[in-house]
Amino acid sequence: MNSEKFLQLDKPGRYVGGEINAVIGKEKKSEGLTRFAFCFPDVYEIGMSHLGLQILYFFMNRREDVFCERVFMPWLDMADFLRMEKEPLFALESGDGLCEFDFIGFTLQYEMRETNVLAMLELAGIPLRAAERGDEFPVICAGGPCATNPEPMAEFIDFFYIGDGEASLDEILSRYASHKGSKKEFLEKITDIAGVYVPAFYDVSYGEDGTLAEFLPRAGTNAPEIVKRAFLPRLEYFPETLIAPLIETTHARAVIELARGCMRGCRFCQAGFIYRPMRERNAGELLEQAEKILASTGYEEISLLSLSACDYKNFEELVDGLLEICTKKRVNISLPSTRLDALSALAKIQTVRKSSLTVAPEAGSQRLRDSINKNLTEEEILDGCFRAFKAGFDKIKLYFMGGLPFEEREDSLAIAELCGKIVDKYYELSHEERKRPVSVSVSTSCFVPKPFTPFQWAAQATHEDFARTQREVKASIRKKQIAYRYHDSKTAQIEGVLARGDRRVSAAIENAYKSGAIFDGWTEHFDYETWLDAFEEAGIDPAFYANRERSADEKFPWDFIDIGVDKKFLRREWEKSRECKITSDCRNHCANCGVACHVS
Amino acid sequence: MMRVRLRFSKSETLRFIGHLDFLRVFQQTIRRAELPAAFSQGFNPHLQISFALPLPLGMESVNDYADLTLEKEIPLNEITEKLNAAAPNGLTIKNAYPAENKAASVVCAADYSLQAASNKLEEVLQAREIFVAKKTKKGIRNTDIRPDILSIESCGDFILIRLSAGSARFLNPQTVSELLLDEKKTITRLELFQQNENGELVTL
Ligand code: SF4
Repeated sequence: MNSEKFLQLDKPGRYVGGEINAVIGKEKKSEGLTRFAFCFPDVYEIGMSHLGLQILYFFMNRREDVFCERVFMPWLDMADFLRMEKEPLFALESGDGLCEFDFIGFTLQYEMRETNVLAMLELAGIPLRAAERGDEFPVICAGGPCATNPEPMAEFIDFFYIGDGEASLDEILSRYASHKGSKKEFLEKITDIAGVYVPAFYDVSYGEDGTLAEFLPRAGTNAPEIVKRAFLPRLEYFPETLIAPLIETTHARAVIELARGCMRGCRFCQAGFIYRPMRERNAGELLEQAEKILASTGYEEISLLSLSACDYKNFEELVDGLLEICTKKRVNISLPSTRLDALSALAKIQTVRKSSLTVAPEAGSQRLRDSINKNLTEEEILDGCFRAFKAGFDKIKLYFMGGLPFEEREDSLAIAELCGKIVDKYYELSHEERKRPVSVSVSTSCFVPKPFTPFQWAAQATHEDFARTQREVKASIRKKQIAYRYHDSKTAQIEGVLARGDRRVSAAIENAYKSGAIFDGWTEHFDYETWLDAFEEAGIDPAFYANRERSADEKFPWDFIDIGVDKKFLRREWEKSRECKITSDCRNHCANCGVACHVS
Repeated sequence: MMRVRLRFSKSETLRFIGHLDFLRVFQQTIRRAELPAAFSQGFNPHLQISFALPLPLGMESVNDYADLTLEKEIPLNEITEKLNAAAPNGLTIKNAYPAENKAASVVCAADYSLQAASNKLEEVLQAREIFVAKKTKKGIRNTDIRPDILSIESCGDFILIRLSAGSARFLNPQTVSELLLDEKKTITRLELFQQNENGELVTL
């Protein structure tokens, strides 16, 4: 394709590749090469900020017999351009159309990108439904957190990959290399690999009340009744380099992955359960990786990735080591989410730049914080903020969730109250210490219950519930130092259906896409009505999936996946949430979640 | 301290990125090359590099210039070698030499090539004044651009034009291209100039 024409597009740098450290030219070398197109269903700037993509990219490319390339969702102007020019969606490294690949793998990080998956298939000239695709088309697979409930995307995907990418990908690729025969035979061959789920090999039936009745492997296939997640007991592999984009991306910085999994068990957080147990990398190795990545990318900032960075066992040691490297190289260290109990370490990091402090109490009252198992007391919050103010911070960002199960009016009012107390804390500083007026920005997101969490039984708040919470919070904030923002709850309603949907939801996603739904995660492109029509056309009641409390014995569409944690444990946590009882973290006391990791 | 001028070319993939992105790519290249670059003071120290003249997205540049400050002296060829080893495709450092002035403040003219032929060359050159609507700080104004067209000549399949280019006077080559041609053609920036003490144009 003549890339000269890209110059008419918005940000042509998205489509030209050519970045530092990108792997190129492998396809020319070898005959028996397996080609894998790693697809991120959002624009380049977002996809390139996702560490998981880079890890798996280099992980696959470390093999001589595999060439993994990147594909991103083209922005609307590029999508139109491709259609007009009758050119297929292509991979950045070779420029080849997706049909030339053996595998097309999507990473499903967010439900609201699922229509983009369909758009990418269509732009590549590939039929959307698995059943309509013959052997001439690549094998389409999908992984990532949303693949832990694969059912809503089941009609479009040949196989799902559930769990740690590094655990089973090698085995799949090796079997593919030696495979002779049809696509179906290949899919049959891999069903015994941990993490592999082939939806076409299962039959689903529903009861009269609409809930799942049976979910069984089809006779004649050797698909397992229970699909075990792919699990990596120890994090070993990490790329020595990262691709450094030529254009500005959401997070243009070096990243090291401190740990996978979390030991806290906040009840709303899916990542906190599906990646259990917490697996930490060794501090020495991390420092070595940091040096190598900084040297090979030239980044001026490094961030530490983990669900809860400050829980990292040797956090102080790591930070000291990093500070040494980073001072020498004049590199900034940034922490994604900040825990107040690690403020002392933070104070060191922020010696150069006093940016804003981020705190996520998630719920306004202690009662509700206990109910979601967010082990953070008001005293800790206020004390932490005060210390941050002392250290020179004057901007605090506070994140709360609206629409949590068991939320009451008092909990919304408590948000304003807590924020007010934080502002008051600032005025406890002496006059000289208060260089600028304090600013506290508060936001509430809309809570969406996710599979494999204790809240998988919960009824999601409705649009009216969210609106009420938002009104209550807004009305109760009186101080001028506090700014309040909230998220749109309509997106959350759709997200809720896709998150806990079953196979019947596939049709609705397809309808929505065909009626123009695309980039649904972008507020300016999201159209609620399109989705409501899509559900209706598919004969689906969104409230059945999103706003219905499930009974204790209901069979869930994702129950056939063994994610590590027990359903019984999750149910116990749900009951404890109702009683506002907390569960201690794994380091203090094992809650017997089912993964039997013997961490504590 | 050592101030060096880098003569470089920007082409290929890098054509698709704008000036600010290119600045970042250049800074990262310097970091990867592990040159002893000097940093600005302040809370958010930045590598001290400045370009003679920003290059718009889409345009290639054959001889371009940037000034870089280093904390200590190192051999000039080592600077070139290290940078080239670290540079992405499309960025080539041609040489490095001591910078005696600030490229951005002395640059006054630029050569461009247009990949086309035109029969309007004479017409433009004969004109005593050419008024075009130009965006200025005070809004759109009709300005005489003739004084900023220093020369135009035809050269085989190309047209070579020399225009004012710098912080004091700047004429967008696109404007001239529109005078000469009916359709948009690729413009390449060939060279940047300063004035010597005799008033002659010499390269930076
Ligand atoms: S088995 Fe115990 S320690 Fe391990 S992840 Fe589960 S609760 Fe935590």
